Amino acid sequence: MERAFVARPIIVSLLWPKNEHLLAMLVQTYGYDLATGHQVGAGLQAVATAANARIFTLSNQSTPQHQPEGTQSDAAVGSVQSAIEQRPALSTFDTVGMAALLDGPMQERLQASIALIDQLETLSHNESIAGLLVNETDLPAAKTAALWARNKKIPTFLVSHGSNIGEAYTVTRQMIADYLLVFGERGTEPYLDMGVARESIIVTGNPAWDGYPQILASRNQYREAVISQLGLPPGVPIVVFATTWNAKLTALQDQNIFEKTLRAFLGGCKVLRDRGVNISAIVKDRPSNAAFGKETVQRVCTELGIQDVRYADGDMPVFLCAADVLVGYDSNVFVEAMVAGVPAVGIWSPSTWLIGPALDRRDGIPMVQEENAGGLADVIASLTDGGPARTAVLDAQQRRLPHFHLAADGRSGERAASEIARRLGSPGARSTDSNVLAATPARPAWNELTNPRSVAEKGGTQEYYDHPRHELIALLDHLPRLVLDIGCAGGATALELKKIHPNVMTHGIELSEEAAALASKRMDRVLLENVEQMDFTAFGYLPESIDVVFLPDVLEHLYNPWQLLVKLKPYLSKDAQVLASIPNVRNAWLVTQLISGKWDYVEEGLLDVTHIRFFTLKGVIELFSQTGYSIERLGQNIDGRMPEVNCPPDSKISFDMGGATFKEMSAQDIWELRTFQFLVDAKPVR
Amino acid sequence: MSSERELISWKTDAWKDRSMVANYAQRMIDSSGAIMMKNRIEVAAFARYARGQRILDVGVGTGRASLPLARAGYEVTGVDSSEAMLQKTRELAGSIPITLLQGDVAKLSFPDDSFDTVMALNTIGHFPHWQPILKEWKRVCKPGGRIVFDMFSMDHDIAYARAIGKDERHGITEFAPKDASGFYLRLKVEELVAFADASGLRVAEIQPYSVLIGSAGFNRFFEGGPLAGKSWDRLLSWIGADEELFDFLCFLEEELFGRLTTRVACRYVVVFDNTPDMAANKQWRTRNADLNAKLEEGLSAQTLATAGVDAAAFRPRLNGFLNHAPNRYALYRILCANAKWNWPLALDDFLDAPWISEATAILQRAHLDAALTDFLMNFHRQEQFRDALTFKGVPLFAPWEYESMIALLDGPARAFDTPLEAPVGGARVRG
Repeated sequence: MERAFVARPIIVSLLWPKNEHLLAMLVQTYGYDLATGHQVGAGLQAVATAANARIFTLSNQSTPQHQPEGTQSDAAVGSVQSAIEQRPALSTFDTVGMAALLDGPMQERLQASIALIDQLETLSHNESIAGLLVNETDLPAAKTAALWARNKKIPTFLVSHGSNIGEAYTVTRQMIADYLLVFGERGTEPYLDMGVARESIIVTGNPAWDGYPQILASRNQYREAVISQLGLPPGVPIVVFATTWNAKLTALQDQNIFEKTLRAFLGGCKVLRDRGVNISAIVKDRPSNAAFGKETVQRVCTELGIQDVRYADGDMPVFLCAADVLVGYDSNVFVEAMVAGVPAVGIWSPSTWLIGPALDRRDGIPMVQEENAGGLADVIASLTDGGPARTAVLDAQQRRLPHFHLAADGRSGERAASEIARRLGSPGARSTDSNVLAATPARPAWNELTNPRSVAEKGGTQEYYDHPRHELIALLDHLPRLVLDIGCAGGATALELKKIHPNVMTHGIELSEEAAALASKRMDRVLLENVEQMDFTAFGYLPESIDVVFLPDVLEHLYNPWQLLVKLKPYLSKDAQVLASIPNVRNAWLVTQLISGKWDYVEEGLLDVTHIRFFTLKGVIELFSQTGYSIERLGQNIDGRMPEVNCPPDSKISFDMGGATFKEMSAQDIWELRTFQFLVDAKPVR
Repeated sequence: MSSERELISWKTDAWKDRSMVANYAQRMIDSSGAIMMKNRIEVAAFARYARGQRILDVGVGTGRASLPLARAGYEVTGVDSSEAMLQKTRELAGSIPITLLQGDVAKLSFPDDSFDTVMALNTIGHFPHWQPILKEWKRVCKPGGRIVFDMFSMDHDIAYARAIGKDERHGITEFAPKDASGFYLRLKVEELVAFADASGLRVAEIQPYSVLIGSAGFNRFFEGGPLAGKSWDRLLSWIGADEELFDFLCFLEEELFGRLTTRVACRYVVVFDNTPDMAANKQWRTRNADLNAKLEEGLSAQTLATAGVDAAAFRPRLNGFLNHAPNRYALYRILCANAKWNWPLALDDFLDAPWISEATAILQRAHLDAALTDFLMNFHRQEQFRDALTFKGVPLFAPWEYESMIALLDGPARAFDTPLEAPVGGARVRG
């Protein structure tokens, strides 16, 4: 069975074209070959050619390729028919109707599944298939492939194509993928409701929105284009209604939902016009409604006596660039509006409650009952009249955006590719020189103190400085004006923060010249200073002017971290947050190391050779309480080197690790022992 | 016993943690619908059941139950094991007079007969030694005074175990908390009535709650359904913007489910009068047994009558809420969840005519969804079809469930032939 030449493993992708850049990264950075469900675009093709990667195309042919399989599908259709004859009594419809399901198309359908399985079988016979990527697991081709992969123990990744803000119902309430990539924490919810384990869900942001920052950079051009194409009067607020449709997958969906929500929108516009408020109304329809959309809009406009409503279809991002307000019904488009910075308004209809609302009140998107035209008019007016409501809604939506879409930084595809590659055990980058690190002769860690090497010397790249601390950003409980990042490295955290809250002022303090140079391109002000010797007043900081201080793995490097906290306090505003991460010295792994006589300093990690101070949980609490702060929240980054230990209800427990026995440990002890870094949210006590 | 002692001391000390204090303070103002609703139900119940002027709040925490009473002029003393909690409560109380002392739930530093009402919100459920605790509370309570606290319902777990065809044991063991940090005390209401008999107390009121409060509680019967999970929590969040919806859901929680028995909800408020009265306790037992028997038959006007509710007055109050469409469809969602289990609501007894037809149609739609889903997902997995419908180990029909569902709903099942909302003789009623 040995092969002379070991080919690169293949990723089978049934992803839609909008996710192709993710495939390009898997080819270029992680060294996979591809098999795709459709012809790939020129961009991906070029990447593959340059990387000398192979791309197979699965054919769309649904006709069976082998005679015996034709026989199989006949038998299969026969089974479906007899199942229907023996079906459980369902008084709501008759056998004849049920049997209609099997006329003609079903045989072709089953044959299509057989043909796809056949191709996958052939492929897997000749090649090593590492994984399967799909955008959904409900529609026939993707589900066939996913069921096949499950059988072959090939991991399937479902790369969400929507925000998953609606619930899964009826036959879609099942999960056959091994991993789910979702846009934000919010996207995990329907899966958690379905009983999917949190560990198999990965939050990456939406790769298909990676192009948004670029689109928004040309916002005005797009807006002008929409205005001229639709012949809208200049200078008048544009209100876009994103239509909905009935997927007909649950009887609880309202069959008239398209027209009812449309009527609600146009009713609101009518009230505005009657009040003399000038707005341009656009109904942005979707392809699923092409057969009746335009005609329905015209009819409803006539019935309501409203004129000058534009009907359009096209790319949502373009219309969002043009929109001043977006009105929709329980849809993905709410999140897209958040990304584009357009205030959104939801329409409430009975189905909203029956199927489950997509919105939480705290999402910052107001919801108006479908029959309440006056109410909708009020909301739209308040968002377009130049008053404070618009800012308030935009601000609330912007705060909530990371919950729906991890980061609008154009790097979701990168995150998704890296998460997928990590779980598949990537064969490695093609771009050679992957041996730089290993080739460097080991040197004692203490050399770092007298002769620190640059990141390049350590074999790293700019990325070394580029680890945004999402977990610290997540601790923000209010929108700050001025954020001071002490030990800001390359400014990656500030960069992330700016994407979420563009108006936040970010200042950084950094000792490394190399990092500070990079950070200064990304932050409003970067000081190349030793914070322990720095006089804040001399640098122009006023009392009570700093709203948030980040201390990401910094305090342990200071000779006198207590003094720094005391020194900072007068400069902090009333509700200021000090957000710190601090390595834990009472870490189980470290304890076992010490027991076996090891306390090995390293260049990076818990025993970084530049650490001067070491803290346990008690030490962290005292560090803050003795310097005039109260710890509001205390979190952790877990150290996976210590396995999870469940503390039973009635006693403290003992467990073994690394040759040592930990006796009589409480749940609190175990929490601390498993901690890699403590995450602290502290506020100054007045 | 040593393990129980450790649990007690762990539970006593847990609240000294600052982040725990912040967490509890946050709950008082939490705008998530689930917490907001739980808060309103609990605070209203405790205010309703308090008697007399001198109130002791044991495990005062951040003052959720008793700060409103202090504000209303009651003379309130709060006790907590955690100085940090007390500090927070002092801060929240501002200028409102309230006495706050550090102390232990089971060893109070007050003379006998000190208070008119001893109350404890979300406190006793943390501890295993409930009898010594209650005896201590009785000691400091004046004769004729009151003891008010909440409890997790073992009756609920047992009723659910029975409903899924298991025995009482299953209800007791299967749902037991799995570890120390998750410990909570569950009792059968009968254990408390027996305690009342033995200790010279009268059962004045038992109010079940936590049927509709989503993730702030749980209801075994609704797990995985439309009244559970993130989806119901999202619906609940809108009570913060829709007062009519908030009032309606509280009305159902307090005046419908709250009048039933400890089987329907995972929590209940217990109200003891500090007076020996075994005859009254016996009467309470009889009524409770009757009500449980009636509930087996469903939730009808008769059930409510057994519960001592004036059904003739209840009906117009309920329907008065239903002109507001979000209330009506929330009710239909509750009916869909409840239909699967016990206590189906007798629509004719409670709803006005137009809403009966609307509710019936929606229940039918929900039933259709469930029946078709079950059929499409399972028939091809049965033994007699499995081989023919499997190709190289892959189930062949499964990929076509989605399209078949649409074909059936839109075709023979005629799910979309009639409007979702029933026409109501001419113009619809508007709220």
